[in-house]
Amino acid sequence: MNSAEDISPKLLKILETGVDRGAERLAKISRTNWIIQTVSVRLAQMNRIAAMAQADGQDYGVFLSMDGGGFLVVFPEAEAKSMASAFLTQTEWEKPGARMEELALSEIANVIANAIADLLADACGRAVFLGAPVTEKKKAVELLEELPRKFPPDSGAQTLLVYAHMSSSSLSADCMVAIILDEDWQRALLKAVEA
Amino acid sequence: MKFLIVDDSEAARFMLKSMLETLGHSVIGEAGTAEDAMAAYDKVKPEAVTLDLSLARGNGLEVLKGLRGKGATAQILVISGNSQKRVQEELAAQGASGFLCKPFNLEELAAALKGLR
Repeated sequence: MNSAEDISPKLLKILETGVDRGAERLAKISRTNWIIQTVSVRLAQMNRIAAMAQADGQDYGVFLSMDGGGFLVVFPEAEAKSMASAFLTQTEWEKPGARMEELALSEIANVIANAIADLLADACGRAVFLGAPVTEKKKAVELLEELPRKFPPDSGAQTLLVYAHMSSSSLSADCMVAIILDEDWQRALLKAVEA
Repeated sequence: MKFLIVDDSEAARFMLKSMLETLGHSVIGEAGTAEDAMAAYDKVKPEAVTLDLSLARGNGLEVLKGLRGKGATAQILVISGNSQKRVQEELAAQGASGFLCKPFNLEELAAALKGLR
């Protein structure tokens, strides 16, 4: 995959289906139906992804590693609060002193990332385990700037940025998922979508 | 049944504990890493384990293999957002008693417990 034009329609379909499933799972968490209004996918070299993020506002970033790549799920702070509240209302969790918002968001990100990982893994006939989520509160641009440092420079890793706007009757949330894939993953995916 | 909950997420452990207790079960131990899960199993000797696949320092499949490898007879319900075909096949091969996809509600948890092999 060398440019945005290299993202095949079949791969786009896989990613869109993954986001759809993520929304279905979010519906169960928040007890409301979610509608995906827009989904866009862009391919970027690791050293260029930071330039693609919006610069203003704080965000929550949840990183989940996997062999040969990883997922960074980013929620704008304002929307993250309502997402976390929906999750925490369901659990009726009141634990003084706990970083409830971060803990709830890491679980929500885990659900979304796994929904996409399932489809990528099944398409390639692989078994993939995501690592425990690591949550940080920073600007999206900073989260993306730090992403390349998590991977060896010679891994040939590239990033697919998936933007989704999901809304429900009570909540509205923008969510960005950066999917990092090394050369081996990229080859396997291209082979799978060309088959 | 007496349960050991293995999940890296404190929020998920809290939610699951609450649900299990609502269903009349008791939770006698919790662990958030693969290493802690193995140690907790030996310590509390549960009748059943709920096992997440995403763990800090390891994964749930390694814990499943480790527990079955040392003769653990507890029923092990894998609870995860990971529902990949290859992973499901491997879990069945390694002796998982059941699987429940995250997120889930109380009714789905009750059905999964009823269906444990």
